[in-house]
Order: sequence, then structure tokens, then C-alpha cells
Amino acid sequence: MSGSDPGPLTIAEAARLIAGKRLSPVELTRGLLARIERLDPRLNAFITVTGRHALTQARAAEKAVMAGKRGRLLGIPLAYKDIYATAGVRTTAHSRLLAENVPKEDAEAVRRLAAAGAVMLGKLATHEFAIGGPAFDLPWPPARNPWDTERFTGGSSSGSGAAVAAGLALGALGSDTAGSIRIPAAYCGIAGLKPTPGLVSRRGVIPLAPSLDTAGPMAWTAEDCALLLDALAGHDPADPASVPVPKESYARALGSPVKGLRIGLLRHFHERDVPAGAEMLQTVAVAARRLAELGCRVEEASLPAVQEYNAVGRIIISAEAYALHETNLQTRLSDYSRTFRMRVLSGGLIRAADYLAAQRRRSDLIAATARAFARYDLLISAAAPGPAPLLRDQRPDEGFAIPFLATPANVAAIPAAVICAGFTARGLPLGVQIMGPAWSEALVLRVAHRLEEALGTRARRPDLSGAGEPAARVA
Amino acid sequence: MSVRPASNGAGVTPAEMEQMVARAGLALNPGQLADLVLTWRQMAALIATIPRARPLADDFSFVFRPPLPRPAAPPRR
Repeated sequence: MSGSDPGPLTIAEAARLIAGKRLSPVELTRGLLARIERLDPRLNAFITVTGRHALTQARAAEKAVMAGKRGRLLGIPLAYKDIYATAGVRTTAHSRLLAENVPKEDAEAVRRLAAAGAVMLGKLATHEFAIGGPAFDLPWPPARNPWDTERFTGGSSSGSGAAVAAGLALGALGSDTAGSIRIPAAYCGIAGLKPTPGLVSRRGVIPLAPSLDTAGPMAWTAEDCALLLDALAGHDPADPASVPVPKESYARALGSPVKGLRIGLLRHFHERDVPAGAEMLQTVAVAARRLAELGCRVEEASLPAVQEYNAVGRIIISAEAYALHETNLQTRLSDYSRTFRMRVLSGGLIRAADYLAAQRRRSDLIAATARAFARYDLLISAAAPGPAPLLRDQRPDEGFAIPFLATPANVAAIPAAVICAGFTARGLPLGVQIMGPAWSEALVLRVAHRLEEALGTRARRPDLSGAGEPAARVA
Repeated sequence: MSVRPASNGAGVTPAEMEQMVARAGLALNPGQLADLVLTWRQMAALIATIPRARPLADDFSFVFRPPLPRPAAPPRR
């Protein structure tokens, strides 16, 4: 098998080369480990690099390929947000509290990817326990955006966004409770999918707010997310939230036509509720035009205001996260970052009646969102109001002040993908969000894939040629 | 102490906040307390936006499904 460096690859490209015995999983893994060693000191995407483990898995994959075994993830190097349990490999949640935590078993999602032949390169940075923002008072620094290392990756799957965008891993696992897969996907210029709750097992994933938590894939393209979801999706009887939905191939569904689909454009999301910048508005308008050129019928649609979904989501998240962390917050408060404390402590003051009022309001919002899908096959909006902001402008105390355009899909319990839809004049990526009714991942990914192709954003990678010197730390 | 502290958080007094914090079992230094006052104001404002007027018969969101008996009971004829 060839050992030459083919440059940054998608999962689909690498899978084809590996299946054709033109790319060695061992050499691919070695190349990525060398790239991590060279670039990650500047990006801080990894908390733990599992080089030896990765090479063992890569050798096994190579042996399987040579023995004639086939699989789209066989020998594909991935990395996992550090809230996914990994047997024998520390799983920190980017927190001092779990700095020495070494699980005995893999999370179900990790187990499924390993069973499909994937190679684990390591564990990725996150916001502490998957909430908050970049924190500088933790044992590991926050991840930096490969498009501009002075900028925020988005979060909380911050390392996942940075690692995939920088070509340090071909794909990653993230988690999404209020936008934690889709916001870093948007800011880092990659694709990410938040699935319908219950489609991907959360067993072995450190929870943030169980009512809203979802586990999902992040990769350079929507096609790669589909390939990952093919391995990840499926009923897990040991996860009480897992739903036994019929198995389907998301990757195979990508080829189906999109002509005739009814697309609702949620202009009020990014024009009125959370006003986006001019370049973002232009990017969404171009995406809508491309969908129309693909034969979709694009019309303006509306849902309840983004603020309504965010209020419900933030009350539920704070209350549930506080409940999960209560004992540690009472006894080890100073071991948490200030950012985490500012996002979660107020959850301890929420009355049960207010928490339940938020849950009841969630039922209304789920119903209102479902009604929109009687008229539209999919809904689209901006993924964020603009490109990645500067890290130094991130403030721990503005946690609840700015609503997320991503949170409605969490509250409404629907799947949503983000793809890179364009770039600012300064070369920063801009993301568009595609939402579908519950269990419509195949349709969401199909349209995401076709739109990605039509927009032609996937040929452009971040310029990391100047990497090597660690970026200046933000105090 | 206000009757509905959670819904009137924007106007919560320092004494009320200290009482709420103590009830939550938290021991905060002055800086941490100041941070919490700030975020609690934001949280209370969110809570105040949630509609309360609902029919009593409305279902709650929670659904608990007990596991099926194993082996499942045969259907009654």
C-alpha cells in the first residue's frame, strides 16, 4: 500500500483510496500524528493524543483491508470530544475534576466506530463539561480556530471543529445540547449534524442536560457526516433514551434527487430575532438561490422567535446541569472554571415550578415546529449571526444574553445540519443550517450534500503554512 | 423574601440572594456571589418569559415507560 502523503482528505476520498489499496491506513495515521505534533501546539485541539493506540488500530485495519475486508470507515482516523468514554484512555471533559478519570469501557458511539474499523487518534478539547465558553483557568487551554488562531472555534465541541478544519483528523464526534456541534461547525468551516434525540446512543457520554443532549458526527463534508452516521445510528437497548427506529443508509440516500422539495427560509431567525451581519445575510441568500436552482421550491417560513426556544433551552440546561454537578459544586466549587460556574450555578436557584414550566413550554414549541413541517420538507437559516468572533472578546458573563440560532432544533427535538456555505472577505467561514422533521437525517444530509456541492466551498482549506509557533495566549 | 424569587430575580436583594444560595447548599466568596447575581438576573429574565397560563389538564413533557414484562404476557383472548 502506498505511503505517500495525499494531502488533506475527506473520509469518502480516503475510504476509496484504502479500498483500492492505494492508501495505507498505517501511513495515513502516521501522517496525521505527525501533523498533530506539528500543528496542534498552535491549535490546542487535542487534550490527549493516543498515538500508540492509533497505530495498533491502523495496523489491524490494514491487515483487514489486505485480507479483503471492506468498510467505509475501515482505517479512517478520527478523534473524539473528551466527554466520550474511552476504555483505558483518560476522559477529562476538559475539567480538573476528571483529570485522572480513566473509564473501563468505551462509549457506545466509540465502540461502534471502532467496530467499523475506525482509528482513534485521541481526545479533543471541549468547553468544560460541554458548556460555557473558552476558559483560561483550566488545566488545558481552549482550542483555537484554524482559519485564524486569534479567533474562537465555537463550542462546546471546540476541539472537534478545530481538528477537522485543520486536517488533524478526518472526522470527529461532538455533542450538541444547544448548538455545540453546529456552532463550531459553522465557525470552523466544516459540516456537523445534530441528530434526532434517540438516534445515536449517548451511553458513555458525560451528560450536560439529558433532556436535550445529543451525540453526533462532525467532518469536512456532509457526505462524511453521513458515512459516520451510518456507523453511529442504531438502537442501543442499554441507553434508555435510544429509540428503535428502522436502520437506513444515510450515505446511500445522498444520491437521491432534491428537485421538488419545499424549503422554508426562516428569514426572521437571522434578520429580526438575532440580526446577522451583511456577509452572513448574503451567504444565506446565495444558499437559498442555489437550492432554487437545484429545483427546490424556496419560500419564506416562520417559527416562534429564536428567543422563545433559547429561554426554554437555557432554563432546562442550567437546572439539569446543576442537578448533575450539585455535589461537586457544593464541595469542589473552585475546581470548576469561572465560565462553568457562571453558566451553571444559577441552575441551583431555579424553582421546580419554573423548570416544569419550561418543559411544558417545550411541548408547545415542539408542536409548533412540527406544524411547520406540514408545509415544508426542510427549514433553513443562518447557523450563526456571523463568522467566528475573536477569542479575547468572549466573556463568561454574557452566557444567557445572546440567543443561539442553533438552539431551536435542540428544543424542538429535530435533526439539523450545518455546512460551510461561504466565506467573508477576510476568508472566515460562514455556515448555513438545514433543519428537518424528526428522523429526517437522510433528507437533511442529502440536501446539505447537494448544497455543499453547489456552493463549491469544500476546495478551500485553512492556510496553516505559518504554523509551528504557538499563538499568543489570551490572558 | 419574595414569594416567587425565581420569577422576580431581577429585583432580588443581596440578602435574598444569600438566602437562596445558602438554601442551595453553596458556599460562595464575594466574587463568586457577584457573578451569580449577574447570571441570575439573566436567568430570571428568561424565566419571566415562559407563559404560565395553561389548562390544568395539559400533559407534562415527561413520559416514563416502564419496561415490558419479560417474557411479555400473551395477548388475552
